Amino acid sequence: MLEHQQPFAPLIQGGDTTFVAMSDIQMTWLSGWGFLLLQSPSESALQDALMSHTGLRLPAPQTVSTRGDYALLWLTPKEWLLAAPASETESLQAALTRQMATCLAAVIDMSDALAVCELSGTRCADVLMSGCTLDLHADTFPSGRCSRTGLADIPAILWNPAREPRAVRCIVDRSHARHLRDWLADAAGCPGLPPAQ
Amino acid sequence: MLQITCPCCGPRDEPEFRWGGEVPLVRPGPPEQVSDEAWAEYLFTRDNPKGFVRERWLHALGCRQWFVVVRSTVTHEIRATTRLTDTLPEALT
Repeated sequence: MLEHQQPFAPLIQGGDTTFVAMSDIQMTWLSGWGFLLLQSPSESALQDALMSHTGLRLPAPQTVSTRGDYALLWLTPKEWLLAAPASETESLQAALTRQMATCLAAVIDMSDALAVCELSGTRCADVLMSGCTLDLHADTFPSGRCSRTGLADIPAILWNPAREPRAVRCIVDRSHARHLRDWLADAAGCPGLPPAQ
Repeated sequence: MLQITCPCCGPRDEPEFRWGGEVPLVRPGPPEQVSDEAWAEYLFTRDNPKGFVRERWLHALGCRQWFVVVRSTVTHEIRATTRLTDTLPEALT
């Protein structure tokens, strides 16, 4: 059975949230997160600003650096996504903007634009790989890895947060959340997937 | 399906990318001094060779960066991929 929790009640109101699906997969919409999109060619200045306000280091390409409640995801060579508790987003945005005032930089609040779905369970990678071309097995997509790719015909950022328990977070545009929910429910029940262990 | 090695993200499958045409393609100018023939040449005429060509590709569903691919129009073999800012060895073009 694919269990489904919906803290984003207005987002996915209506429709059946209980799915006849295979075991070991749980889909949870994570709430309480805020997102800041950071863009700057001045990596050292951005690094200093992040270090003084969050203690984070800029991550290597396609990886995530984490510290406490903060996570910093690499998106492109000059672009990062900072995940922080929603209550701190506004003050962080103000502080980073102030410190980056002298260089070319953008600090954009994306909290209302993005939704995060966490798919957990031993077979979550199999379900996701039925709709995406990345190899999401733990040896090629280890913990701390993030990649922007296409999932279920929509752009998505996939993030493996931890070695155990097995889980993959999907960050998508909020307007795509219901599509992703429906698609995951279908994919989790697809008879072509490998059987549950 | 092609597997293209993005200079930022590594090997990814073709649906993540968008084709952007031949390079180098130099825009003529200044505009008021360019003849109609030269504009037409710039806009519509392509070499379209048989064999290896240099092309621009966009990693649309990944890092959203444009980069250069050296691809055979006959076999689809990809010899090299580089960032737009890097120079490609002459032997590969």
